[in-house]
This record gives sequence, structure tokens and C-alpha cells, in this order.
Amino acid sequence: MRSCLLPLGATLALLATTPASAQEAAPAGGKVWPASAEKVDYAALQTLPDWRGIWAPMMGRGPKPEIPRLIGKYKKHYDEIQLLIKTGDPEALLKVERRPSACEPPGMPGVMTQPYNIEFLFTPGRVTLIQEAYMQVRRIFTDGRPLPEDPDPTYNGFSIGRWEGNTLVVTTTGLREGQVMGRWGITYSDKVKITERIHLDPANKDILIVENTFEDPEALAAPWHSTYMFSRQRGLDQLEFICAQNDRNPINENGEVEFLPASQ
Amino acid sequence: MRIKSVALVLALLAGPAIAHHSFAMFDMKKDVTTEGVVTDFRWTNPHAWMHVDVADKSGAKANWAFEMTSPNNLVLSGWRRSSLKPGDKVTVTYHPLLNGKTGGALVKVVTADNKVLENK
Repeated sequence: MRSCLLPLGATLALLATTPASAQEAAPAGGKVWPASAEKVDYAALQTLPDWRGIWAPMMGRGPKPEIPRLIGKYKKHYDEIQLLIKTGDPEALLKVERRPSACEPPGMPGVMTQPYNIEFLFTPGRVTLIQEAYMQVRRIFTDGRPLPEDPDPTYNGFSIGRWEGNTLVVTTTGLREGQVMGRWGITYSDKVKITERIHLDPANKDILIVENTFEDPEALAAPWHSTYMFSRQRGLDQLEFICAQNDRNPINENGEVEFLPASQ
Repeated sequence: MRIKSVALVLALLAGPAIAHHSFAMFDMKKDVTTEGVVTDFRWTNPHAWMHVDVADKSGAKANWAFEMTSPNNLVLSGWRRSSLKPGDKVTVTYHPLLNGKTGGALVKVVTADNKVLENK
């Protein structure tokens, strides 16, 4: 390494001729929002509710879901899949699940409805949600920043949140066209806005309730609602989950999931 | 998994999704039980797998593949990465592949010392 060092005089000469702007760290994303600002207030976290532990999905619990009032191509898609299901086609599920890889994560809100647990991390100006399946991450900024005006569509979108008492109200946009908002063919456009009201059950602090409202001018004639529930497990931690480790279920050209024999 | 009831479909509208893939390729209403010898046990994600040599009535052996859920779930049912090893004699119950090939979705394993390990 010594051979890489310039003599002190040469170093000073280089510094003297380098423009000042190049000597400073280039700002990566423009404005610095409070979640990353130098000044930090950890004490503010003490006022937030206790959401520690991991949260296991309570399958089949919660209010009966509404029938979505889908429109346009989203209704056509939904009707086609409902017809397929009503025929009792044993391959209906495979035909619905047309994904390039079974390891592709579902995006919002599927990241919230995997048959695996979630956990929350609170840091100043931000809530981070980790889904055990595929180790998916959602970043929910609670530092006052607005939603981006022209976001690149992503699987989990861009989320901002605010605390209304002990309820975290999250707004998410910037999602990918055609992602699933409910099972069995309920999909949305890239104009969808999801609002989640996340809070503990007033009657049981070990139950977490997520109340969803979906608004989509291209896919929905009226807002659609669903509710997810989770139960707290304090004696467990999340485990690693790398889907590419041994994915033995490739998807063929017909969109069907395959099963590799023991010889492969 | 045959979905015949509209009521059931409605109940599932907002329900939790399957993480990796559906189980439509298996006959989920049929349980088959057989004996064999473990040749491989893969404690991996997104699914754990076991391969088992199974002999048919004529004595001819075939190597079967059985798919399980993930280690993340299996540990909650008492499994460990050391639960099975090649050479172990086991009794396996599974939902067979609909295409008739040598594979299935595991229901449970009973080991030679009568320990029952369920796939859930």
C-alpha cells in the first residue's frame, strides 16, 4: 500500500487544483429528510406503541371481505378467473399464478399476506417492516416527506406514514400495474393508492389489525376494503429465507409450476 | 386443491396468499403411505425436500421426491436439519403428484423409532 501513497507535497498540489465541489461528498438523493438528518431525537420513540415481537398471520380471521367493484380490463380478468375456479379446474390456481419464477415476491399487499410472520422496527422518522418470506422489506417514512410525484413503479411501492395516536396510517403509491390486491384475480393499475390503518386490537394488545383501503381510478368503481390480522409471538425470531437456495419448482412456458424429480 | 364452493372462494378473497407456489399439482385429497429408505434430506428454502428409495411390489426401486414446507415452518413442528439422514428407514405419507410421477407433497414421516414428524 505504501507505494500507492503520493508524497505530501504532490497531494497538497492535487487538492489545490481540484474544484471544491469534487472534494465534498456528492449529495446522493437531494434533500435530506429528518429520518436521515444529523439531528436525531430517539426520545420520541418512547411515545410509540409497543409492536415488538414477531407477528404471525391469523389466516381466515377478520371481517368478511367485500366483493370488489372492478372495472375495465381488471373486471374482465377477475371474471375469467372466477369462471375458471367455478369449473372446479384443478389447475385453476396454476393458471392464476402466471409468474416468471415462484421466487418472485408478490409486492404490496401480498407482502403482508404471506403465510409467514412480519416484524416492525421503529427508528426516528421511519418504520421498517420485514416479512420473513423472502426477507422482504418495506420502508415507511414517517418524517413528513411527501409521496414522490413520478415514482418508478416497484413491487412494494413508496410508503409514507403518520401516527394518529397509536394508529399508524400508511399511504402507498408507485406500485406495478397488474399486481394482486386480493386473491383470485383482483388486480390493480399503477394508479392504485393503498391506505393502511395499522393498530393493536383495543381488546387484546397481542393482536395487530391492518385495515386496508384500495383506491384505483382505472381498476375500481369504488374503494375496496380488506382487513388482515396478526398475533404476537414474543418467543420467536425471524429466520433467514433465501428463495434461490433450492428452488425446485420452475415455471414452464405455459405458466405451470413444475416439480423436479429426485434425479435432478 | 379443488375449489368448488363459491362461498369458500369469497372467504379467501382477502386471505393470506401462498408464498411460493400452489399445490394444484398434487392430489391433496389423497393420502398414500409407503415405506422406504432416505437417500437425501435437503434442509433448504423455499422448501425442504427428502428423497426416498421406495420399492414397488416387484421389488424394483425408484427414488421418490417429497416436498415439504420451509425450514422456517418445520422448526415450529419439531423438525431440525438433523431429523433425517441418508440410510434412515422411514414410513412416508404424502399427497401424490397428479401426473403420476414419483413425487408428492409430504404429509408426515414416521421414523424407525416411531417418531412422527408432520409437514406443517
